[in-house]
Amino acid sequence: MTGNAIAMEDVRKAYGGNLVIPGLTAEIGGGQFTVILGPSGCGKSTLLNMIAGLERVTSGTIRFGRREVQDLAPKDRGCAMVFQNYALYPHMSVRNNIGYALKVAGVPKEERRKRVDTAAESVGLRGLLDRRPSELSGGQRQRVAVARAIVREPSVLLFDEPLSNLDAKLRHGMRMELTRLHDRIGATSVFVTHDQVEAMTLADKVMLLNNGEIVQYAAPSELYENPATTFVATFIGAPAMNLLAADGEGAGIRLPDGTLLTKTPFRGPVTLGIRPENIEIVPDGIPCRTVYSESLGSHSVIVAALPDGQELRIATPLGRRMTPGEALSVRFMKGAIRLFDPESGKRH
Amino acid sequence: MVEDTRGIDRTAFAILIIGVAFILAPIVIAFLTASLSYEEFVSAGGIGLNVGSSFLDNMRRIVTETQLPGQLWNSIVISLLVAGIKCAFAFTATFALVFYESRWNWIIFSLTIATVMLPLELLVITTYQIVANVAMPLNWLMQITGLAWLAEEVVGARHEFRLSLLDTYIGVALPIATSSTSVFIYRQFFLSLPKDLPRAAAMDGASPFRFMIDILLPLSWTPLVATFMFWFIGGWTQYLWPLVAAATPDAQPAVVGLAKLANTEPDRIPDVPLLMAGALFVSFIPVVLIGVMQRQIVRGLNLSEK
Amino acid sequence: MKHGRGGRTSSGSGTAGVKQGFYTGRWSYWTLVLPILALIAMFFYIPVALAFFWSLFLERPFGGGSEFVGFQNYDRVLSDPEFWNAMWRTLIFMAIAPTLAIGLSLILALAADRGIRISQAARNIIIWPKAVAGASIGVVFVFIFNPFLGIFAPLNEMYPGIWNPRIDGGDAFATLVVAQVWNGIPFNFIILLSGLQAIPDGLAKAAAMDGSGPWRRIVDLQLPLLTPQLFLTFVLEFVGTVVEAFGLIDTMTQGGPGGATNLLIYKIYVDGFKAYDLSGAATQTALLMMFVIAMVILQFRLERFVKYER
Repeated sequence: MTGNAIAMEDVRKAYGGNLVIPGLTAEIGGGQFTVILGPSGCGKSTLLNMIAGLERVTSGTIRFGRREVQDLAPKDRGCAMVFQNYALYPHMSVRNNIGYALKVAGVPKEERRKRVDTAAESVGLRGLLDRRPSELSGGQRQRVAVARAIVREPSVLLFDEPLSNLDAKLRHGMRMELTRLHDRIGATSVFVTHDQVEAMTLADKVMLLNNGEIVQYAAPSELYENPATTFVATFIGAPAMNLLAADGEGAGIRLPDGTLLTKTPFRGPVTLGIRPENIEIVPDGIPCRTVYSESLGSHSVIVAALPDGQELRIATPLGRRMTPGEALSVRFMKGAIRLFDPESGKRH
Repeated sequence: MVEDTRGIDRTAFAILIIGVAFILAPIVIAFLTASLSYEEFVSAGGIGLNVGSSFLDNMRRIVTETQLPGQLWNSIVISLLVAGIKCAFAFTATFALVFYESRWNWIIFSLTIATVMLPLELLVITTYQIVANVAMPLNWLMQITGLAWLAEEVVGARHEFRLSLLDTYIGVALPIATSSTSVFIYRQFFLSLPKDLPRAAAMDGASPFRFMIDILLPLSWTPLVATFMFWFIGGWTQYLWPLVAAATPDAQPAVVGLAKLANTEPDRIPDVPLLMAGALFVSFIPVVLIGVMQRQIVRGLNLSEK
Repeated sequence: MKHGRGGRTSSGSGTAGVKQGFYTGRWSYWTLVLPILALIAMFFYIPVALAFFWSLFLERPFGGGSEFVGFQNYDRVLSDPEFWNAMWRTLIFMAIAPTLAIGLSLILALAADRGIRISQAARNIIIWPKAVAGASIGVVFVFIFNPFLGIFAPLNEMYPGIWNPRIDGGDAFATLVVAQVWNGIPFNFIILLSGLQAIPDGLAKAAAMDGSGPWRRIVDLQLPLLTPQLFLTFVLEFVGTVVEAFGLIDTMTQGGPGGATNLLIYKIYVDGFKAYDLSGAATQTALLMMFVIAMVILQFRLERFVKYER
């Protein structure tokens, strides 16, 4: 089964006079795993709730396949949702939690039993069906929430920051399982998060939102390699991309104090972006001075000050330690430099 | 902690002993006196520490010679009505106030909470008039709208609707049930629930009503039981309102019956043992209730939150 | 007590804090709130309004019609020294009984909070009076304080006339206070003890590390952190004592001797149901309501001085 595509056309949402989503048009591919990413307050949860039918659109249309759904109740849309704090019913057993939607829908007891068993099986919950949510670990609760969502065999599966309450190790495991689950059931998955690592690892496509507008909507690698704006550049990647205020003088780009950064031809004021791992330490390059360095095992991150005082984050695979104050010189790798307009932040 | 707390613990111990003694003293005195026969009591010349053997005899007289048994039943029914109405009305209303989006929420919440400010005892004079004729507002309405005049023209005679709830269980219970503290307690509780619960229920296809019954109601069991017990006891201990609203002994609750019993014999030395037996008789149900259920009540009212 | 907002106001944004107010159906909303609205309209707001309304009319008993008299009823009541006496006694009672009830409850709660062996049993017993009606305990206390049969009977034999609440107004007033305190301890005790137990354990430990002993911590830590609960008990007690004394007065003193225990709530009852002076009773009700409302508003004005964010 392949899930329905979701088409949103000029979707707006306002609370009172407060326009949260000022008109959004996008299509989410059927059967794809799409992550809506953005800082808190960017409208991503509101968007998800509107897809789910938990909030009414102020105007615009949402289609699942060919069906217009924006005026339908959640249960009539054929979508299911996994909530941030799982929102399991604390007084019901795991079995009843998973089966509640079927019960409301009037599915006969025998069939309900079978379908709950199948759903529980597929997320590895066998043997826990008679427990209460309070008797489960965080990871197990997460599985119950997922089972509850897939038991209705939805064509659209929605996730509202479901991993944010798990510890780092569990989160990694769940990411893997969610990917496998998605591949198996083939529903269109929409996953909301503010965590760029989740977005990069899970998504077929990432929709990056800021202030209710799509900043960039592309594959994760594209977002990383070719950020559309300085906002994307800083939001994706850790440590974040370096953004330096610089001036193009035709044949090259210099810092305001005249230090030559690169020979990339450009004219006029510019914001130069370079990822920390695309900076090499070389014998005679741009001179700078170590401010701080930390070793992360596989690589080190060095913070260095350029001659004009702007700071540069450098990721070196050498595991090399620098003492503060130590001088070094660096070079920006060819082809890794991204130039942005300093006024609008947009990519040149 | 490594700390010398003997001094303060000893003081605390002494204070608690004195406090418990103060609380228990009237109860113990009532028990001791209720165990005496009238003759034993008169010859002892009043309060004493003698334990008599007439306790059951006095209780038997309460059951057979006074109206207290029937009035105990009245108390049970009235208290159940008070607690039931308070909990049910407050529960549905608070559900709406917390889980519905409406600009009336704040106004309705204020209107219900304001009832806590003015206790029923303060309003007996006019509440009595309303309960004596609950159709009174209807009559006013007809007068104001001119319907009364119209009816007079048609029927030929002036008609005033009358419906008295005096001396009825419901008439005694309804005004007691107006105080809406429960709304406050339930609201605090609902707001402490995960905010995604109604959303999850909506995704599962449950209507608001279904969510209230299937999910909210079982979850609210602790505060519901606590408030039910609390208002049951509150209904039981009412005095002034039942005193005026239930004029006939058949309709009066036990507390009123006891007070009437105590006021009947002004001349000779009153039959104090019988009265004490009566006081114990009308109090044992709520006292046992609070003694057994106090953990649930205290936890469910969530008093530390206020 | 927190001043809550019902749901969300229109300006609230979609992502802020605890967002409630999820459902929108209008019919079901009004169906849910209508029962309680009808109940409080009928048996609370109409009686309140009626009291004010009647205070402006001269109502004849037994349905003899009524006549608008403006503020004449207020003139009459406010120039009646009996009203002022009853008001004054109410005020004295309000000053003494809640202070004693809360003070004793506080001491008991601090002791019970020590968690010594007897605490658990004491906690259970101290709550019992909550379940005893004022009128019931009045019947018991009138016997206990009976000058010839009660606990002071031996004293009276030695010094005749030293204690007699049937003759001495002061004695009678004192018996009322004792009974009211007995009845008032449990609820205050529960609230204060809950408050004490809600104080995080870490604070006591931190204070102990700072060198503060258990006695010192009562003054420096527990009492300041308990102010919200103390405030709540005072608000509830003040309103409560105005009316709760009725059951005690009616069973213990009937307002006597010589009106010494005739508090306003009892006077209103006698005027309204015994003397059939409905207008006078309604007017006094209106005055007492205004007094109580003013007290509550004043107390909530003071509330912000006692709030801590925990």
